[in-house]
Amino acid sequence: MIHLDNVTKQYDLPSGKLGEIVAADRLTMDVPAGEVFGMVGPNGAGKTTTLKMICGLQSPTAGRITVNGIDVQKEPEKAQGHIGYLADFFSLYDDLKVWEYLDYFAHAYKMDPALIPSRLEEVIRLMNLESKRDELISGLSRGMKQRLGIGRAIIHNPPLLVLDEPAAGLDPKARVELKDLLKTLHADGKTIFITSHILADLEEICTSIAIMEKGRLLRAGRLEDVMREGQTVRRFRVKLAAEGFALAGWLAARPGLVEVAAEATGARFGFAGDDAELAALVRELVAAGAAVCGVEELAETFERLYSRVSSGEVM
Amino acid sequence: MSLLFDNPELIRNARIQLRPGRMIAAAVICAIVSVTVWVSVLHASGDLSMDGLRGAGVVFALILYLQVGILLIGGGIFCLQSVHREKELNTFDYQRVTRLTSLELAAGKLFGAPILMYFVVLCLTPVSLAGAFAAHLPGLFVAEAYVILVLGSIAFHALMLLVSMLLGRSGQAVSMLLFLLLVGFTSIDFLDARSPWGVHRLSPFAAVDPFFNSHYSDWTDRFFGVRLDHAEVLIVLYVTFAAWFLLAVVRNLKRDSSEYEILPAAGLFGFVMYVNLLMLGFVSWGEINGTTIRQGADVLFDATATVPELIAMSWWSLCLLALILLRNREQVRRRSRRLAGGAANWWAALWPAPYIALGAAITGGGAVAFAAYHREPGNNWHVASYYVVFLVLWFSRDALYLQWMYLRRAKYPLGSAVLYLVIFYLCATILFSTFNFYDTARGAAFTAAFIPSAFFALNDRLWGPAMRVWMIPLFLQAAAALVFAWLQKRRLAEFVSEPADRAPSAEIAQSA
Repeated sequence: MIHLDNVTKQYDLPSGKLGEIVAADRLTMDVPAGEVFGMVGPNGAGKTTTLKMICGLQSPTAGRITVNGIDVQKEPEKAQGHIGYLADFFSLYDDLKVWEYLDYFAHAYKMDPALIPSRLEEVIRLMNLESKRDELISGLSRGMKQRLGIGRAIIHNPPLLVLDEPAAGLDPKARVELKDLLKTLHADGKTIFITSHILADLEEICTSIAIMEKGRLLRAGRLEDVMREGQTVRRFRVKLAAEGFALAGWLAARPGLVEVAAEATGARFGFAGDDAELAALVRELVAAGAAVCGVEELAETFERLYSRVSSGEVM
Repeated sequence: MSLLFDNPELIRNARIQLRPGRMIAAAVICAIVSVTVWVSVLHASGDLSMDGLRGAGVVFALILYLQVGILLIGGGIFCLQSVHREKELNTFDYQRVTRLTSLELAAGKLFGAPILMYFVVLCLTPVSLAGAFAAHLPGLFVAEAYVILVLGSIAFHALMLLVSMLLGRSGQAVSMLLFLLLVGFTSIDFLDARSPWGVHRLSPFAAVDPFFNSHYSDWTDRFFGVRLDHAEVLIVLYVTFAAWFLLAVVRNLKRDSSEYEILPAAGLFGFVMYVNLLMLGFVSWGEINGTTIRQGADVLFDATATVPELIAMSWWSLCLLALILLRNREQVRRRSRRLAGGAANWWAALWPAPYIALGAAITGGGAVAFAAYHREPGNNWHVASYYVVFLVLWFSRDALYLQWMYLRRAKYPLGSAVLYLVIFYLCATILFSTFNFYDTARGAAFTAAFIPSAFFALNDRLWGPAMRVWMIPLFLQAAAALVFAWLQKRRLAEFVSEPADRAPSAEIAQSA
C-alpha cells in the first residue's frame, strides 16, 4: 500500500535557530495493504514529516513515495484520493454543523453526489455522532471532535488512513472508543498508518511497527518479529511454595542464566536455552529441594523493547 | 465540477458567512443606510428628480462609493485572512489533501472569502440603481461603473489571496497596512496630481469619478501618446493583473510552502516586463522633464535627463524580480539532489543574473529608445547607451551578491544580505560626498564603480572630458559580478557534496 524508497527530508531549522534537520534519512520501507502500522519515536524523530510526505503535504528532498502504486509527488491529487489524513494538532471549522463539515469534504473529495447523503449518514452513525448531526462543531467535546476528524478522513472511503497522534489529549474513555473504532476500520479492510506516544495502545492494535529516531528507522517489521528480534534471552519467573531455599543464589550459580533477581516468593532470571533445556533446569531445581509451585515466561512488552532500542541497548 | 456554483469551498464559505441571522442583520443595516442616504440627499437638494449629478444622481454616486469601499477593502481583508488563517488553524492541510484542484480551491477562496461583502453590495444595489434611474443616468455608464467595481475588487482580492498564501506566521498586520497603502496609492488621480504618469486613478474608486466630477467628460488616458478610454484601460489592467495573481496562486496553493515558486522565472520576467511596459506607456513626458510637450522641430527631451528617470521607475520592479528569483537553500538542495554536479556549474552560479541582466537591458533600452523617439537625433546617444550597459552590470552584480549571501547558513540570510548592501551604499555615499568625488569627472567615474548615484547624475560635463575613465567602472562591475558568481559556485558545490558528508543511514530499514 505504501512504499518509501530511499526517502530523505532535510531542511533548515525555522527562523530564529541556526542549523539543519534531517527529518528523514534515506528511509526505505513497505507497508502492505490491510496492516495497522504503528510508528513510534521521540518528539522530533521525523514521524510527522514522514506522514506528511506520504500524504503529499511535504515533498521529500530526495527519494520516491508511492501509495497504492501511485507516485505521490507526480500525481498528488490522485494519490490523495486513496488517503484519509488526520493531523496531530488540528481544529475543525467551528462555524459549520457536523453534517455540513462532512458534506464539504465529501464534495471536496469529488465523491459521486448521489452517494454522498447515504455516506454522510453512515459515517455519522459509525462515529456515534447521530445526536450531534445538526449541531455546530463549536459545541462538540474534544473526543467528539476527534471522532469527527476521523469521520472526515474516512468520508471518501479511502483504503489508507494516516493518523498522526490521534489519541493525544483524549480522556481514557475516548481513547478506548478510538481504539475500538480503529479496530473496526481495520476489520473493514483499511490500512492504517498511525503514530502515537501511547505504546501500550499501539501494541494492542498494530500488526506492524517501526521505531524511528533522528530521522532513521531503528526497527521496522511485523510486531512479533520486531519483539523477537530485540530479544536475546527469554525471561522467566519461578515461584516457590515455601521459604527456606536460596533460589536466587542457586540460579546465579548455574551457567547460562543471566539477570537473576530475587523476589519475595521466588526469583526472576534470563535464559537463552530452548524449552527442553528449561525443563531440565526445572527438574534439577526440584531435585535440589526447591518447592517449585510455578514457572511462567515473562512477556517482553513493546514499551520495554522501545526503551531498550532507543537507548541503544539493543541494536 | 463547475468552478463556481458547485464549488465546495465557495459553498463552505457561504454556509459559514451567510447564515440566515447574519443575512437578515446585513440586509436591515443596508436598508437603514440606504434610507439615510436617500433622505439626506433629498433634504440637501430638495428635488430628487433633477438630472445628472444632482439629486438622485448623488444618491447613486454615494452608494456606489460605499459599495466600492465595502467590497474592495472589506473583501480584501477577508481574502488576506483566507489562507493564512487556515494555516494557523491547521485546517489548510486538510484542504490540500482533498481532490480539489488548485484552481477550484483558489476560485472558492477568491469568491468565497468575501462572500458576505458581495451580499452587502447586493443589498445596497437597489437603492443605487433607483438613484441612477431617477437621475436619468446613462445605462452604459452605470453598467461600466459596476464592471469596474467588480473586476477591480477581484484583481485586488487576487493579490491579497496571493499575499495570504505567502504569509508566514506573522506579517498579517503589516500586509493589511500595505494593502491599505496600495489602495490609497492607486486611488490617486495621477493626471490631477501632476505626477509623471498620464493616467487617472487606478483603484475601483475610479468607478465613481465620472459621476462626481463634471470635468470628466473626457475620461481618457494617454498610452504612448494614444488617447484611451479610462474605463477600458481599467478593465484591461484589472483582467490582466488578476490573471497574473491568480496564476501565481493556482500554481502554488497546494504545494509545500518550502517549495513555493510564485511564477516560473520566464513568467515572472514577463510580468515585470509587462509592468515596465505600462509604466513606460503611461509616462507623461512633459512632467518628467518639468516642461510641457511641444510640437514642431524643437528638442523636447534630452536622453541624459529623461533616461535615468525612466530607469529609476523600473528599478523597483527589477528589484522585486531579483528578490523573487533568488533561490533559497531548500530549492538549491533539491536541485543538487536532482542534478548532482550540474547544480554547481558556472551557469548555475550565475543565477539569477541572466534574467536580471536581460530585464535591465530591455527596460534601459526601452527607455533610451523612447527618449530618442521624442528628441532630435545626435545628442548624447552614447551616454544613453552607456546607461544601459552600466545598468545591466550593476543589477547583475548586486543580484549575484544577494544570491550568494542567501545560501549561507544563517538565521536571516536574505535580510542580513540586504542590510549589508544598504549599509555599504550608505557609507559609500557619505564618504564620496564628504570628499567631493562627485564634482570631477574622474571622481564621479570612480564612485560609479561602487554606487550608481554618480551614474544617474551623469551629464555632458562629466562624460565628455573622461569618457575612457568611465569605462573603468564598467569593468570593475563585471569583475565584482564574476567574483560573486565564483563565491556562489563554491557554495553550490557544498550542497552537491552534502549527502556524502553525513554518516550512512541505518541499514535496518526493511519491509514490514
